[in-house]
Amino acid sequence: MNGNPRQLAEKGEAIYKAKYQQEYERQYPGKYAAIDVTTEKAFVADTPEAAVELLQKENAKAFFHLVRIGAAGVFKVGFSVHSNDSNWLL
Amino acid sequence: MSLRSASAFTAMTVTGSFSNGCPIVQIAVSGPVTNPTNFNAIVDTGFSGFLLLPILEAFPVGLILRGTIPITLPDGSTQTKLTCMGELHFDGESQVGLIIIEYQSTDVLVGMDFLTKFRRELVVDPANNLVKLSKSVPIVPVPPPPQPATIVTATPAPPINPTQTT
Repeated sequence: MNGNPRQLAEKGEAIYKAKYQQEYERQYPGKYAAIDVTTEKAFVADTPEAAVELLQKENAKAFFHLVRIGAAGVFKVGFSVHSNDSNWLL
Repeated sequence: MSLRSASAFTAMTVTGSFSNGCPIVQIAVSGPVTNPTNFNAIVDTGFSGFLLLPILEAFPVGLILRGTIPITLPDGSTQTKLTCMGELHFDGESQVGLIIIEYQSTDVLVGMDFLTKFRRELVVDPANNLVKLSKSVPIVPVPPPPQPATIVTATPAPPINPTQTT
């Protein structure tokens, strides 16, 4: 797998938007999709863990990007961390 | 009759403590091939996820970072984080869940998904320095009491006045 985590996340998000978002938001709102960044396959399940497990059954070493269908984030956090280097990894 | 007796309630309760005003509990985390590592975790009900670990804590645990995940911040913006699957041990139980890796924070957080997976209810009483995580008991819906039979009496219709015109 080539690329740093930020590039992989952007690739996963682009794959989701191009291939799955429109259909999934109609069919599976509120569910979770794990995108295999290499094969571009998506795995949908009721929980984030189940989506990742489905993906890892097919390819245990896959790098994935996880989305909650119809939502901006998979989880919400109650804190904000601001830094001059918020993109240290991503 | 109460569904849980006092002794059963006590046996299923874990007591936490406070650190810098935040409720904390003891947990342990393990990766695919590692033994559990102990942490004091803040119970953060504003965090909807399972576990958030600072990256410097994640490496000794042996977690394998294989994914990215967007999270929503309080201002509505999103940030993408590294994530992985890991096993959390608490009160003699273990649950596998998604761990968010945070590089800017030094706090270990457990969130609402932790309470859901371990089926715990949380009591935080800072005035009495008390943090309790009790086993959640499924709520059995109570059927509504039977309604008393109502007697409906038919009111006789007023007689038609043959002289009435429209």
